[in-house]
Amino acid sequence: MRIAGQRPGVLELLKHLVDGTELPQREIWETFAQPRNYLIDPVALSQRYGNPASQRVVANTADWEAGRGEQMVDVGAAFLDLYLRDLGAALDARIDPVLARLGITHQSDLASKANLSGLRKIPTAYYPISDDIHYKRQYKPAGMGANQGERGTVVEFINLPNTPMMDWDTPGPYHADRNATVRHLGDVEELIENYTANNPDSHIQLYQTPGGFRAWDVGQRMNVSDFKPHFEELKVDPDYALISQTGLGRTVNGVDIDPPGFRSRISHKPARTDWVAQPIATFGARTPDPTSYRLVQELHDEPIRRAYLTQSGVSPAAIAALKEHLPTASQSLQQQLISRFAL
Amino acid sequence: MPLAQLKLLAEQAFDLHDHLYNASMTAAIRGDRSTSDRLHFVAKKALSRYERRYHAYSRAKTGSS
Repeated sequence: MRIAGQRPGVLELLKHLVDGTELPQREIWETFAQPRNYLIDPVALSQRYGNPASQRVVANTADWEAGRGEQMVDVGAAFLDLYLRDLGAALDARIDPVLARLGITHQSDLASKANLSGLRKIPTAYYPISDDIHYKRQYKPAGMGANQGERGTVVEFINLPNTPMMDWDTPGPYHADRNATVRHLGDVEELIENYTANNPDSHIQLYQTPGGFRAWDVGQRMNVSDFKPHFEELKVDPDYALISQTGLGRTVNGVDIDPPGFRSRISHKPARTDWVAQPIATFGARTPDPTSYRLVQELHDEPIRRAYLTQSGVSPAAIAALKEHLPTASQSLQQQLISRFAL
Repeated sequence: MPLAQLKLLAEQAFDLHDHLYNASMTAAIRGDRSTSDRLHFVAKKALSRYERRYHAYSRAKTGSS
């Protein structure tokens, strides 16, 4: 049976609405989400780091996640979602210019909310591994700049509530001006040098990302409230600062689900060349907190390295981006990077 | 043992781990997978050693036994 990611004909839609055929939800999802192997095994992690309560929640979530793809979905409803989605988009294209002249921008409810079959969005799976580690799998559509019909993917995020992370966007096509708080590596280096001078226990691990830079402070354990003043001091992307301070606000059997914390995407965005995070340099004290250091190494660095950085631990695309930023760094950092990456 | 000495021992242990970890990466970049794996294994052992020294330093710093 054909379930394509495009608008079905009216007759085809009517036929499926009438005949009531069903398919496993997984087959429908595969039409708009590229299947992939996950980097993190939450059940194994919870066995290692969790307590009995969080282990139960993780095991139940894993069962639910494994079973939900096998739930049967009405094909007619799936087609109707596709039909309404494209109809909504077509309506948007027609009326947007009119509304724009009146100074109104909108998104059609038809385009954004048709979800009779669950086709529009794969539900997010939240795994509370331990108080120190949360993990989620969240569907992201192909988004801006993607080709028509390009599939989205389920993206993995870790959330370490006690290990500060910073995210910086540099100016570029994917970022709004308000998010691009730094221009280049030189700006980030200066911010980090000032921060480590004022916080002598800090140990910063810096990474080049496709959209800018990210860093973990593995030198000291701090939660989001403790770290709040540093977001501004370090000119962290304001949206990242806000998201870090926001939790899902839900508990299951007394276990917090995705509380406020430092969230980090560890898998690629859909429809982009994405090496996720290339480690480039470290700053500050030589006595990192072992717990934070291990968590970042095991849950961030190693999975990304295995999946995206080739066997050599280096992404050629990341190094090309790094070369562009190199002249903006201090002489000592330039020397360090030239030596480390044989630039 | 004085705090400064415990800190120095912890720093030396971390430097050793860091050096081994980077050497493992360098071997991988050269394409020498077997050396890289061996160095990676030793780097993990060095990390455990660092953790013991860090905890000794940390206990002394906070005054806990």
